[in-house]
Amino acid sequence: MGVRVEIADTLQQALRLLAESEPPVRLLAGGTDLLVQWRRDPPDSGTVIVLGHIPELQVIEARPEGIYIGSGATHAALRDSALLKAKVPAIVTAASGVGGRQIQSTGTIGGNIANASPAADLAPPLLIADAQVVLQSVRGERKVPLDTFYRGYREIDLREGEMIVGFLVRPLEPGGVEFFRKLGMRSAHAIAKVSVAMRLVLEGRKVCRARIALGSLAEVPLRAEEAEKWLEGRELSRETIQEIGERVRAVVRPIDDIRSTARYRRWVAGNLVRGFVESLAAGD
Amino acid sequence: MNTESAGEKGLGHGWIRRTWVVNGEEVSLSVPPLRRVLDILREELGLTGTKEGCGEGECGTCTILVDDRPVCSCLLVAAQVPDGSRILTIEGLSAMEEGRILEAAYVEAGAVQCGFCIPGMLMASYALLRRNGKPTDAEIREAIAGNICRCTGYVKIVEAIRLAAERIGRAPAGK
Repeated sequence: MGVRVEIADTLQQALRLLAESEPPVRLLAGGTDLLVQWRRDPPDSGTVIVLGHIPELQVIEARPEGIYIGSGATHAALRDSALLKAKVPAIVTAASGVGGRQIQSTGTIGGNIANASPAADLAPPLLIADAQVVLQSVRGERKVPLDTFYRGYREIDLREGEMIVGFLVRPLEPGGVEFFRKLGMRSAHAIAKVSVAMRLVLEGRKVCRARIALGSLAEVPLRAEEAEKWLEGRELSRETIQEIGERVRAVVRPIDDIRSTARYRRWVAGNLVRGFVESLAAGD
Repeated sequence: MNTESAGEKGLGHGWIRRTWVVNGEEVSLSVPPLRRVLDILREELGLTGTKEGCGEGECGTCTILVDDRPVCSCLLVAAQVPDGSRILTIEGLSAMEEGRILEAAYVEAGAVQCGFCIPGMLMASYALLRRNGKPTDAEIREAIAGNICRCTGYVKIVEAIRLAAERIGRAPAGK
């Protein structure tokens, strides 16, 4: 007995295996989350499909509809991508801060999202780039905006037989700036107490478009939509800087846990957002 | 030797055949698909220089290079490593000129105390120096961010890597 292990060399093969294998079926990519979980609770039935080296899943490229990032792209691939650095820089910053170099070598963006942690480092930078999750099964393809892909704590909109094959993200607009900051116990190798990603598109001192996304501040990675709407159309004035932090604090739903307290998380989330807006206003 | 039978809880059903280049030598073996590369190196191949610390990818002492990239061998199973992959362990590094220079630099800088983290630390150091011959202190610290040392406080390790970088840069090419 024991769990059956299948190694997929192509996407078609992976999808077929996903449809036909004995359940429960689990997909193993980099394994940096899954193998830690399996150490305590190893799978003993069903199937593991190993995705490691499927070329279609490693693609990072510009397409007419946006920047496409294959789900199998490792944090190292994201970190070292000149295209992503130019077009979605917060993704590069976030990937550079995942674990250490060892974890970055194997961990993947698809796994980071499929693991469905509210602290997932890649979720806030994907959210501010209006990421769509590209899903495939033998039945076909489906695209879901990342902000509705998260259904609840550790719950995602992934149907039976489907896998995340990639993400489509909106490249940085002219006049756009991105920011990502993660706070943990130390700067490397820590799970986020709080993470914040922002994208602002400016025309002079006026904010035309705002995206604010927050990690570890609710049961899911969260878009601060009310705060975004409030910010859009405003000048980067002293009043805006004063108020934006409060607007962000009003939408978060943090908890106390082993890593931090709800009070600290709410407070510092507001400070991080305000600090970024302030630095833009000062022209840094 | 591996005393666990195939199909035992957590190792996966059956066996797979794998051919890798380990420290420059081709190695073929039959292993359970979910057996950790760390265990294969230590128990099947007798390469016990690679240590297990936390077993969860936090401490970096099990670091090896797979196709020149540093990875935690505790978070890597046989089925994830395709045929033809090049694996470098501390035993392979020690036999190389860069490895000898790194080891000497660690000793001279006083960067080794209990020594348990050192195999992984050396592998991470080499992974850095092979892509960046003149790292800044910040780049050195970033390169070893995935390796935990509980003795030294890292200052002497950073000094050792800086010293090794200078010496490797000065060493005549082609050996």
